Amino acid sequence: MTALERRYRRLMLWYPRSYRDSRGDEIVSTLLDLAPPGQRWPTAVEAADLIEGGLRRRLGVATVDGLDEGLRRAAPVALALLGGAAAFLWWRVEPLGPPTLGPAAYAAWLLACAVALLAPARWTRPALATALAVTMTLPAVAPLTPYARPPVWVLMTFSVFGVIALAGTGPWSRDLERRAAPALGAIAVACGAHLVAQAWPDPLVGYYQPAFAQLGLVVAAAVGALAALALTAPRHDAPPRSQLWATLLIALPGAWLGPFDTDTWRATTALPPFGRLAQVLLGTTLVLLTMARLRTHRPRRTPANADPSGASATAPGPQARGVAAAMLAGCAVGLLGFVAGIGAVTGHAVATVLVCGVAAALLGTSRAGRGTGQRTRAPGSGLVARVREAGLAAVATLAGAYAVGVYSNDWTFGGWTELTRTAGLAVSLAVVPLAFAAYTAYRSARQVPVVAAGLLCAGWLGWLMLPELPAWGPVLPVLAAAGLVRAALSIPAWRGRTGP
Amino acid sequence: MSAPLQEPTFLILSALAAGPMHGYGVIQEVEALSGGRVSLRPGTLYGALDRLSEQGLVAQDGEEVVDGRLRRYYRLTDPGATVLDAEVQRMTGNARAAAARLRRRAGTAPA
Repeated sequence: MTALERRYRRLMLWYPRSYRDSRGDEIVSTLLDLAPPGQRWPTAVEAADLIEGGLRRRLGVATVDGLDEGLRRAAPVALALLGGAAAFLWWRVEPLGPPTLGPAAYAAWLLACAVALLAPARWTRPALATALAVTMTLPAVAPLTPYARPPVWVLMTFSVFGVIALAGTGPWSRDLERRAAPALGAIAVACGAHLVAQAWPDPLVGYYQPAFAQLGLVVAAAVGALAALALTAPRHDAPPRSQLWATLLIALPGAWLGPFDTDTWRATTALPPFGRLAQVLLGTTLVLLTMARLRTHRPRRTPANADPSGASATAPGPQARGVAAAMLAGCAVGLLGFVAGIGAVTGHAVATVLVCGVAAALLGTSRAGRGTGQRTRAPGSGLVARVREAGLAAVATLAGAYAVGVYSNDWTFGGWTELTRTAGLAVSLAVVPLAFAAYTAYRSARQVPVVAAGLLCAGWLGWLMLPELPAWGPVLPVLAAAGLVRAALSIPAWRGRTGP
Repeated sequence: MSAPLQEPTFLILSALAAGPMHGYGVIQEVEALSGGRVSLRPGTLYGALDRLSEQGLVAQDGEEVVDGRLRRYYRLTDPGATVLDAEVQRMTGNARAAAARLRRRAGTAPA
């Protein structure tokens, strides 16, 4: 094996093992065929191509219907939002507080908009990658400078929009309309955010807090426009799947932009106010579940794509319920360990742990009850996998809870004082397995324990999240409205067909 | 018919229209077909081939080992040929309409 082949094979490690086993030799052979004589190292472009291909495989999005086209649709929107948000934050928000390193990232994104407009098409991706790298390295660089970094949630939102812009932009040449769209959109976004800030009840005096919700309204408008395009698409005889993907991709980071602290219906002092963390968890979970629904929802199946090797899109079976049960059980153990470890076993935490435990038991027993008649594989293998998943979930919950503690105690690694508040925040991590379990139960076969588990999870989610409705980001109501409009539109269409 | 094909997809299907081809051959053929404009990278190519296989537009067609390198061949399926043909019809229609407009313009424009 030559040094070049060995290096290509090392890059192939980005792909999952099963894919490497079936395709690895073939891809490496093609790379070697393409390599000019004397080449000893993979080029940067080759490495980026393999890393991207491998990550898409690992994330399970390599062959999702409509996702690529959705990314292409979302990319200019993401770049426009990045450019507009950068201009707004730089010129309207930065001067109000102590200076941060933010302008470095803002300048990079504005430059990327300019490159997309003016430079040859092959420069766009490097410009986007540079801006993304600048954004993601700011937290590491900031301690070396006298400046602070911008808030973490700003960097996270910019990073995810940046990944969308980069992944959806090809090196192919574009016409003037496509070149100008991000720059013109950025101007519209910046003006929109400025107008929202002017009309805001409290004038823009503070630092990033109100600006975040103001940007959230502009992003919600973009999501609403994309949703409207998706809703009107069937009349133009094009599949709306790619438009729906574009809407959800923009909505994912968009759902993180909402008000920070608001008055809620709940008036207990035991719980922390609904913060950015709960908002991000809720928004991410809801959008990801909608994406999962879109991915598995196939209204029509032609014989051509009824391929047995393809990931068949059916309702989740006992295995999915087993995974959900393992996640709930692991989360319960992890949370209990964390709150006991920091010595803040609150009633709120105990109740959440109990809900997770009971729901896990219900989902777990439903699986055993169904599986006895038709068990074909080795009986222990599934259980071993579930125990391993539960262990992973417990470790991940502990690590996540510790990270939440570090975050909520002003980025200190120990000697925390606000233990009750920290425990309350950490408990909101349960939103993820609860939502997954509720979704799995909703999509599963109707069995009494499954329905009970689903109601329990959904009910507790509602108790955790609904009282904080005023603090939800504006993107979520827009998405919900789009879903309702879609449902309403489908009614007359159905009646029309049965009419005379 | 659904949305127009993306250019790389169109070029891959066109490359396979003449006969079965392995990955390296497809990359060379796509480059030649596009006049050197589109040069596919292997990660992108195999991602596209996976997707097209799943949609039933292309299928595997035997393999061989040459100089220790695995070459797997792909062919255009009948549904793939139908999709490609529909796209060619669409593009031909557009091109014909545009050419007619240009001729009319040449007829009316002052010399």
